[in-house]
Amino acid sequence: MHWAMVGWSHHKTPVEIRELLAFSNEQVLEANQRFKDRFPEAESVLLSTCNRVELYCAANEAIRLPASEDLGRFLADFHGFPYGDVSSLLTSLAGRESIQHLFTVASSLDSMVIGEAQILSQVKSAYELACNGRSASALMHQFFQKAATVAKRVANETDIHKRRISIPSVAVSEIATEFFERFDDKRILLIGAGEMGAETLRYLVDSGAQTITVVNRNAQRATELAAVYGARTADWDQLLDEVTVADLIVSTTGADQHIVQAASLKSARGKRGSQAVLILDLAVPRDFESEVAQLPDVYLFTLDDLQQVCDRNRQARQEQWPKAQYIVQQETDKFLAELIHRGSGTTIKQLRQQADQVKQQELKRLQSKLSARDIDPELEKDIEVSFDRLVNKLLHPPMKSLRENADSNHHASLIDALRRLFQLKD
Amino acid sequence: MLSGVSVTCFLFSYLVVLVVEASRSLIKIPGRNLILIGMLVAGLIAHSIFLVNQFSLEDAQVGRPQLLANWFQWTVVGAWGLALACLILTLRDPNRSTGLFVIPLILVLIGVGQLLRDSEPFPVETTINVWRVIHGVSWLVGTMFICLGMAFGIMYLVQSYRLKNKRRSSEHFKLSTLEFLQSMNRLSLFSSAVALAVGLLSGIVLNLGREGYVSWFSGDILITCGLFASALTASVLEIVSRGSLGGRRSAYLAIANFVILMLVMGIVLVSSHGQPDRVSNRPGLNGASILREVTA
Repeated sequence: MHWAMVGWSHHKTPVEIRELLAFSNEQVLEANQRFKDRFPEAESVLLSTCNRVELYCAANEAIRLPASEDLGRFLADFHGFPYGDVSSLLTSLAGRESIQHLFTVASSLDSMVIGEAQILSQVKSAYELACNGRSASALMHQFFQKAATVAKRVANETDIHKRRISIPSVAVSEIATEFFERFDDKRILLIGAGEMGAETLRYLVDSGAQTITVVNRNAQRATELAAVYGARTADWDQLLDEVTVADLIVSTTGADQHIVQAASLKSARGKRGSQAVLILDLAVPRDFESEVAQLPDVYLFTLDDLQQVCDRNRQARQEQWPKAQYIVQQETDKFLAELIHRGSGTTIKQLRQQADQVKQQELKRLQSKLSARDIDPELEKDIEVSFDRLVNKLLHPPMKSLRENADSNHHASLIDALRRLFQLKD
Repeated sequence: MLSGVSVTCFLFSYLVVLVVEASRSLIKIPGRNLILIGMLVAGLIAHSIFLVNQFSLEDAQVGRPQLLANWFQWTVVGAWGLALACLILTLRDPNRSTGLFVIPLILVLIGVGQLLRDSEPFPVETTINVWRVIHGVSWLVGTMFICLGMAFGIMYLVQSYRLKNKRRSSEHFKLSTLEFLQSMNRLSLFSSAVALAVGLLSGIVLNLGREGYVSWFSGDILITCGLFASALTASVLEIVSRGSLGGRRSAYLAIANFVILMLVMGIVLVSSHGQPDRVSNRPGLNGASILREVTA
């Protein structure tokens, strides 16, 4: 069994080129079909995400595996892109390296954001598309099944996925959860209706938030966003009232100066006797005056504070990388050993069948000659046993060599030599 | 029943829990949470066996077992209640350093109990025994809630300080959410006020029955009333403000309650409160007759 991978990823290829080489799901299906037509004796899976376009190939014999240049050209040609322009950016791996690469990718160790959770589902989806297009079969099945197993092992045995690293996810899952047990009974105020605010709101809703108010200078945008999350809107001039009654405030406006002053907030809170409030000021420049943090029972986190948490978490994930990579290496070795074992098992079986066949032919010929002489049946049995012993003794040295070299690099070449010397066919 | 179980058995378990909790930031212990829960359960089992043994002892005065017969039993039962609360909180989330704040209070109660081990038992007067038990148990429950309130109050302040200063929880030192700590604080304030109210009322009935009057101006009764007033004030403030006092102020109230409790305990323990030698000639209400009517 032989494996190869070619592709372009975020490591070497700029996003502008990756965008041109990317495949939609429909294109992947079509490419799989074209691949099957062009390389009928090989199997393939095409993985296309925003960070990579990679084509994994496998064949039972090396000669049937397309050359990496052909594979690269195949991908570029699909988009009508001149291969020469991107050939220098192409990553091309074969054998063990290609297997280890898929395991690394599926475990999210090769991602731009190490530990991100989406890649495994993207890998699975690519495999399913290949199965639907019949470009993937037995070889790819064991390869991608193993990749999923490795990714799960990495997730279970390391902390690489545990820490969040995007600002909105950190804001909700690591900061807000230090304050609140639950979100369904909290009054949440979103100031501004930008992308960051919407993303944070999504995490809050996923965590159970129900009572949400959106305040934005542009009421139209506020209404649109509120409709998505089942929130209500409030007028901009009611901002201070809303701030005073909220339990959690997410502020992401593009205002060029503070929109809430410490003195006005203090006065408003004083009148109403407000409870503790968490303010996530994700705006740059900041929406809340820094003195707000000095008010009792007011907890203010700015974008910088959250960015520090993200950086620490990213660092923590990086620290898990060697442990995860060790698991990937271990699993690659195991996978290769399984393949070799499976491959040698077939060869040994064929060799034994072939020897048995020869033995039976010779035995039959001898028996027909001896039967004319009316020999003792006991002698006939002894002859048959002798033939068996002869075959076993002849096969013993090559079998012993195979066993002794099962874990070595020579094993594949020994199998290959054995197949050639004894002219074993698939 | 397992008569060899002594204070040392459960004291040791609680000490181990405290050490394991305190060492979170220093050393990595595999299966730390299991050790914590295991030692807490072991301590509670030993503690329970010890209490059963204590309550099985026959009182010399009445010739049958007595519940909460002396200050020693009273404090050890209080420690048991706190240990149970600590186990529940630890099971709720073993990664939170709750034991670090609750176990010291348990150890203090056990320590006080040991100091008072040889103190005189409470008087046994059959007619008012029910009121004595109600009085003792109410104060015990009130004390436990005040102690828990103190632990939650300190945890709240520590957590609040950390979050104000953007110091988030680490694997080594994690506390419950501010919301949980504040709600536990409120629960402790209300529960202690109710328990102390019952304790105060039963104490009045007890005094009336035993002595015929209530010495309102004696030091220990005054300060006991002060403790109740403090718990009541804190609870009323919480109710009136509908929780908008802010968690920090609730925490301060809980801690203030604990400080007053310590004062009361100190005075009560060094005074003759609950002891049989209180014979007074002071005029007062004819409580004995009232009590006879009440308990008839």
